[in-house]
Amino acid sequence: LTNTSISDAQEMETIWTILPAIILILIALPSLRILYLTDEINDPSFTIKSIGHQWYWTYEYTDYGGLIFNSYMLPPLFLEPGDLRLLDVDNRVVLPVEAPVRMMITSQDVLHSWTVPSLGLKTDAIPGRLNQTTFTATRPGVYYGQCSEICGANHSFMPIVLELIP
Amino acid sequence: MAEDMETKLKNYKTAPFDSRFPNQNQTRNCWQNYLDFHRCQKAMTAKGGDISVCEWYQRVYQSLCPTSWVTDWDEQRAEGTFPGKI
Repeated sequence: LTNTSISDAQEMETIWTILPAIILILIALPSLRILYLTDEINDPSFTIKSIGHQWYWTYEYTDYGGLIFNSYMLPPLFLEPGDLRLLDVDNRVVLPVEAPVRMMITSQDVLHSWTVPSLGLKTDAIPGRLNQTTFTATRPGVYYGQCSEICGANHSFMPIVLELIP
Repeated sequence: MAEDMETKLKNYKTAPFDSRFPNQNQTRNCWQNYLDFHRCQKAMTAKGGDISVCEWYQRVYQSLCPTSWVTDWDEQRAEGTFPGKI
């Protein structure tokens, strides 16, 4: 009762290692190409810069001049009836609907992430790097998001609010 | 060409798509336009030409680059510590 007939299968082991590796490479290469193709070319109407800080966002509208403002979460004591706790901010990002917008996202200190889930947006804010995301909102309204990369004590308290106006 | 540039500047909405930088990372796009503007400005000033032709690059980098980056780079140029070649 020995295992002489089942202990040595070098050829089969080589084949069933190499063949799946080749199959995976054949799957991965087109998949990566498609991933980059999903980053569509669009013709934005305007560009807004979003800069993450500990613990607030700065928005810059500099296409036609210099509108720059900070967006801090509304502290609970300053909430009006109807405001959303931990979500509402003092200055919202106001945008028009149906206009392709390019957001350039970066950070001034540590990693943050600019997110608006209801518009399918999440882009990391990395110091020294300028990340681009583009979107066209079709419905007016107020859209909320929260910082999505751990960035210190008040990471949960630096929300993002977009106000889309027709 | 100058007339085209004037029309282009007049119709400027925002920095257009640049096929040299097609992906998410636009750091180089901002940097390149900043460099191009200052190089153009330096070259035009040296030749005694019209620096308004460089305005396109300025509009683009102002649209793309965070103002803190531009301020830092301007200070570095004034101090002579700017890492780019102008």
